[in-house]
Amino acid sequence: MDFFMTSLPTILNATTLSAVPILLAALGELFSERAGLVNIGLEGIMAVGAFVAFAVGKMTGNLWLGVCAAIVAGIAINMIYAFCTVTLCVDQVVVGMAINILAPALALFGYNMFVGSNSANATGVIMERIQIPGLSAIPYIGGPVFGQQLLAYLAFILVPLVTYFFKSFRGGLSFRSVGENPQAAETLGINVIRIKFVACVACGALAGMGGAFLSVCMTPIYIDGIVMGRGFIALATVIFGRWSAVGIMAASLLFGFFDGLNVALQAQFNAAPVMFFKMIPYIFTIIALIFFGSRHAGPKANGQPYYRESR
Amino acid sequence: MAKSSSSDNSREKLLTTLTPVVSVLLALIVGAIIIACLGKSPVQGYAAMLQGSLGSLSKVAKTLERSCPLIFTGLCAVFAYKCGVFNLGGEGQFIMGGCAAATVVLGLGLDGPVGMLCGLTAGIVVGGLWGLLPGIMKITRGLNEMITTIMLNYVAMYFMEYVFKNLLSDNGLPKTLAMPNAARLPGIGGMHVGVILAVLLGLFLWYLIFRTSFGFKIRAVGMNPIASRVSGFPVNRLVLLAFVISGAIAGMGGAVELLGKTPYRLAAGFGAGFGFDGVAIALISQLNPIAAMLVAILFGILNTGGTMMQSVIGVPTAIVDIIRGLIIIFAVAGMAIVKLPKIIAFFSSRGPKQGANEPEVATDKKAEVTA
Amino acid sequence: MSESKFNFMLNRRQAIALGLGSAATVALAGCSGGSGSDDKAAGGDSSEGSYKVAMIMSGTITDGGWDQGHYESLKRAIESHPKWEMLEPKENTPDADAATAAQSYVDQGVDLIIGNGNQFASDWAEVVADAEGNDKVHFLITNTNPTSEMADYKSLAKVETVLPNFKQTGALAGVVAGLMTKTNSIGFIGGMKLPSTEAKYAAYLAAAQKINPEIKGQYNFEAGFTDASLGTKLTENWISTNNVDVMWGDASAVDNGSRQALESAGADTHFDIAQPIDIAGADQPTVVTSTVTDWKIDQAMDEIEKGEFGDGKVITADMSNGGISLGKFSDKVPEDVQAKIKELAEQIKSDSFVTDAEVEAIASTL
Repeated sequence: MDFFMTSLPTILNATTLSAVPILLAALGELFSERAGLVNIGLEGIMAVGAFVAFAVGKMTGNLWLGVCAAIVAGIAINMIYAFCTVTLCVDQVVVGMAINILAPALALFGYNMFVGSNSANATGVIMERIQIPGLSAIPYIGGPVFGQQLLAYLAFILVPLVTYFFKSFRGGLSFRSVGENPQAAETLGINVIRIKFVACVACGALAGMGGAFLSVCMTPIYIDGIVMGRGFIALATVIFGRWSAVGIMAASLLFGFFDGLNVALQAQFNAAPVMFFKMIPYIFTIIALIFFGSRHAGPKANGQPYYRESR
Repeated sequence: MAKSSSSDNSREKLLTTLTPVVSVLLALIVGAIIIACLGKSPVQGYAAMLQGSLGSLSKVAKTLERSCPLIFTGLCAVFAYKCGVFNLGGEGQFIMGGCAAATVVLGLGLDGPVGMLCGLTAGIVVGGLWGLLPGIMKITRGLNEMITTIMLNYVAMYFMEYVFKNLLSDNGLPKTLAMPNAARLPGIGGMHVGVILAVLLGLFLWYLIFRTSFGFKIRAVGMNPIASRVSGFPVNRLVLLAFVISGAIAGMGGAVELLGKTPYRLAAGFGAGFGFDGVAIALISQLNPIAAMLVAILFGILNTGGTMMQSVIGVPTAIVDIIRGLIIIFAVAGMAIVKLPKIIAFFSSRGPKQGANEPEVATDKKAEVTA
Repeated sequence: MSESKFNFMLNRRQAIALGLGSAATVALAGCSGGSGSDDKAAGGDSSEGSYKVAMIMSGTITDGGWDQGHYESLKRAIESHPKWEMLEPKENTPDADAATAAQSYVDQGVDLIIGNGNQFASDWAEVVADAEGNDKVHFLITNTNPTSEMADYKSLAKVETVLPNFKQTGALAGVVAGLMTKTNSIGFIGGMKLPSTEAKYAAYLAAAQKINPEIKGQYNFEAGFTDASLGTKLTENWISTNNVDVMWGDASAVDNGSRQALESAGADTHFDIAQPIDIAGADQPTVVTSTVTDWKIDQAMDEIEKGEFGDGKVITADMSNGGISLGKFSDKVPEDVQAKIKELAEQIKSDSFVTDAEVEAIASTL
């Protein structure tokens, strides 16, 4: 308990920090899966987003331009996915895997071009933390919750917006009907193909943004393998969060908490075999899924190709 | 619209076998364009690639050794996907197989052929068990195996760290002791015998999947689990078996890699990337074990030759990864294109020579020749 | 007929879209890079050099740590050896490719192949054995102890290794840390639990405690070399729970994250000692100085030119041959402290500051 009390600030801080990229990518995946597209290429999209944000941010000196470029790059990469799965009806897992192999290679290639042997280009700048006056002085939770970077606030603000979108907007409802029963949606006059493409745009943008968070908010560098499985964890978060934005936020915060716990344990128990601490977030994800994941939740037509001809 | 189903069939078969070949060529062309854009000579680069991977008999042997783990993980993915199981955990199962072999051989102090056989067996068993875990989770709790297998990859990776750093460390260094000489796989023509094992396994799996009733059931479940259940197949048992067998294949790969290839030790990076490469191989080969072996060897050539290309003409190795990624995209997109209903309709209703894009022009001409 | 024509059109459009899409992404990755690519040393033109050297590394030459340190050592050696020519270094080499990479340089008739770290020691045994009959090629592996780490080798005739004097490196950093800390709490992050990592940390803490026995040390030896955010979080934890105010890093990109945490805790009171390259300067507000390692590649080149290279000799990099040194000081280090550090550095050089027993006492607790 003593350990917990002394490490609590770090754990809470790490909780929000680790949660944000996963939250962003998972919200993207939510759009995708609501429209019936399981995208396991998040990992690759995030890698490209991270690199592009880093490179553009470094070149222009404006991190927000970097983030915007990452969004565009994420959309561009995800258009490959959209084209293959929606237009060509290729198996979604297959294309996702292909993206996971291709996209990090593109990012690494770009990094080789951008940095090369010029080590001055290797380190960029990091986004300022914004302390919300008053609230950030609250003990324990003040710093971690009300002293984050703007991009992190944005991620959390997105949660109610996304919820509202799917609950109350016509467009959100069309999404849901496409994910549940595309044939029926088509007969209601919804353009299924268009909705699916829109979902891919949203997914690419948010996953690219999640990647950008890694290279302009968490660290000021890009490095091959920077995503470290966060894309896959985001996938798990969507299932664990039962395809709702609030659930996803809770799940990614919980994941962040376990990641923070891992770091705090590593920091305080120097001589222990730390690899077991490093397993914690992954084992937790599996356990969480065992208890809370359900095969019955989720959009019904998720993962199935939609042939317009088979109407 | 179809003229005759038999000519359609043969055409489709030709198209599906030619698409991967064309996509490889296309990816290489894109790679060449990138190299040329960097101001380097693609011809020189690809020549170096071939020379570095196939330039001499010993190089061919090394390339085959490098392809060996990819054959195993590729076959692992092929078998699982045939049964509709998306096992992305080839890497974890491969690693656990290596860990088991190391633990048995070093931990029990085994040596000689006995040690080798025990190591291989341990690898197969533990790999299978590591595959069983996500299988149980899928059957009992309906968990998506894509996620659980990937999470288990990370767990396996950290567990391997424990093995080589704490359990069997070589004097405190972050690697295990080397496998004893007599327990290593014997060499044959400059490469270890594991390559032969991998090829035999591939042939066996082809026979198992396409020529036995067990294989038929596996394929049936993969194509339509509900119909299979209605037909009275034990779907859950078959799915579980697919998990175990594919895990065992990858686990065997890990044991073979450990006992067959220098440095004969577990260390950081053992097995890294082999799992996803295996998935890619399975997808390009359209889940055919024999094709998977060929694609694995192609990847081996890209890996070993890519290193040579990088050092001779001085381009980033990421180009090789890009080529690999493009091969997959082109292959899966190409296969989907030739399978799209309107394309099939197009081919049966129209004459050749008016193909829409390159792969189809090529395939169509071939089809005409054979017809 | 018309319907199928329509389909055909659509299909071409799709094909174009696919082509454009992939071209755009490639261009995107390329263009967003753009500048600063062509100043890499180009291999191939052998205008002057009669010797060729190649380096194989696990990371990139701009990692701000281990690999960059090796690359800069190599560049320094090339500058002092005009007869030598450097091939483009092989970056991001996974262990599975280490042997192939070395072999590809053997095939190109390279005179010296450098592997930057002991992860290559076991992977290269076969390549070195295969190159037995090749008189030209030589292998230099850094940070490796030939007796304990190269038992697999059939012959060490063409092999040498470089070992820095870890006690000196650690003690130099320890002196700086001991004199700079106000809270008597210092930290260390290592990428991998190697004997060298532990030796450095032991000397670091021993030297700091020699200055002030009250000083406590925090350490992590398993941070890896890539996850910068882990460095940030670990350091944040030590700052908040243990009041750590001086860090010394040995984990490349992770150190970068560690500096991030020090900076947000206040760059005027929290300091970092960099390693192994000299990076103190205006863009690194927390870095007070650096412990610099030069891998003595120049010495290996000299030996090759004279035909003396090989037999598993160990080149020791230490303070007497310029292998180990302290880098620039930032203005956060007061003049009198700088003088004191220089004085103690002389003692470290003559091995009269910390004793082996003191270092061993700490090493035994790790």
